[in-house]
Amino acid sequence: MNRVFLAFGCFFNILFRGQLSDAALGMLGLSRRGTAAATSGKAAAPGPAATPAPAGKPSDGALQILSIMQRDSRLLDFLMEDLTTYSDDQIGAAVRELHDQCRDSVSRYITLQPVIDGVEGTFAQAPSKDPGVVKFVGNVPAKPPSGGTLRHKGWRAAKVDLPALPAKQDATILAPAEIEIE
Amino acid sequence: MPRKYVIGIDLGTTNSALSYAEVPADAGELGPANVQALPIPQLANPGEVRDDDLLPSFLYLPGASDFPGGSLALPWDAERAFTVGQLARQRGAENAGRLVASAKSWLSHSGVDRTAPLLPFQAPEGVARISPVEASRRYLEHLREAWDSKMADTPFTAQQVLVTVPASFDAVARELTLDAARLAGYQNITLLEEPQAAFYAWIERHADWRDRVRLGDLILVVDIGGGTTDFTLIAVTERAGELSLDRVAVGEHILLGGDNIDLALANTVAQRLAEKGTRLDSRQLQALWNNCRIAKEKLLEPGATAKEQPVTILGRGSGLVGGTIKAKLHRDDVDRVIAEGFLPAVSSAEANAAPAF
Repeated sequence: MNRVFLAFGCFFNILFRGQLSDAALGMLGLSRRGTAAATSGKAAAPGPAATPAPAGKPSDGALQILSIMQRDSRLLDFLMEDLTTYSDDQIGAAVRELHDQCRDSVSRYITLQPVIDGVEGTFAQAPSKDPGVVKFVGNVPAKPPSGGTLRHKGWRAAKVDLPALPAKQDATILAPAEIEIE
Repeated sequence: MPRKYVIGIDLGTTNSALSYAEVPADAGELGPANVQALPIPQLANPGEVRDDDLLPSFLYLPGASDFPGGSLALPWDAERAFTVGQLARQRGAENAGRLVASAKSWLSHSGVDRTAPLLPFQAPEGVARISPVEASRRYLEHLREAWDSKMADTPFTAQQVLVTVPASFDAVARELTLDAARLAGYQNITLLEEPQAAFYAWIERHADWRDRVRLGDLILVVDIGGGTTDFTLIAVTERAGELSLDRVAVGEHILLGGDNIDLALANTVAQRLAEKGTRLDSRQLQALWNNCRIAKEKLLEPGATAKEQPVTILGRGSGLVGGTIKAKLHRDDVDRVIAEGFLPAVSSAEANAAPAF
């Protein structure tokens, strides 16, 4: 379709049907208001199809917990730092500080419990055959046994209590940059 | 509506709190009161409301670039544009020009017009200021709103409310406190002096108090808060054959408190670091201040035997480990700073000879 056809086509579409045809929309690079809202899952103002609508993606929760741990204990600063030149002493001093704050922060939002509440090194029953719940190691027979020596208690999130993310916030920004005014 | 609760509000310089007790149905029956603290919802981080027994007496007046829009919403007000409590104190440590702190100390300062917009005292040009009375009103209002949100069946305005004031508050300061409370929508208000409230609490916990004190005893109530200290003398007298308590002397309202002790400890550590060539900037000094408080509490715990506690200041920016500064707070430092700096033991001759400030 050239421009003259497109212009007349749009004119007649609106005059007789009150809206543009799908073909015209495609040519102009627009999307309908109704479909934009349905795909974003939130009441977001419709923009041109190129801008992604801020949706509640599954990775947002992961980004949120990283952001919280950075905010409360500077975990990301620690993980991303090159530690090869520092002594154990210096790393240890920083880690002690970080450890308390990070643990307090995580515990506030997620209640962590062991999968098997037993003493490591003693016999424990496997609560389930589900490989996601219990991992067997060592001389594992053909049929999964009922239990064995507990080597790691596992971790389970018993309660997750994260604050709701504000709708307009960019979840990919884990920590804002900091600028000091002297 | 009959008053179901008595509410006690401690409007402190650094922290405020609200506690309550049920009025017994049978007024003749005076048993131990079941006094509970009300967990106060407040913003801990933008968009995150948390309950806490204490409400820090800090107010932050944000600009456009401080918080994302709508992130200061409370359960009872989605449009709130300022914040009171933990987040205010936290953000105020980063940007002091917008933080209103120690409004209560200003309420007792007779050298200024306490109803004039003075605070934040260090506000830069273009930042709107409020008066100490207005700041106090907002703290009191937050407490009332917290009550109405948690105890909706028994509205705040229908209960008996006690608000504490320092014994050293003059008549003007007391009247301004009442004004702030009324502006915050309070009714049925009674002012109560803090040392007396502390003493009533002691009595409440010791049913045998009449056996512990004798006629003619003098009781010293020492109230060391975050930023202020008050000393009050209460005499045990007799009235109609029964022991009774009279406030006989009130010290001057001292603008020193626990925070100053911690700052003195931080300065001791900072000086030792400076002697070794390590200089701290103002943010690191703040972190050191907070860590010294935690270290001091560990050293002074009942039963603690450690002679020193490590105090670590993490590096700024992304160089967390690289910039880490290690220091130690010694038990000797703590004892010396507190004993010599704040609570020196002097003979009464020396005390009487000391000039009055």
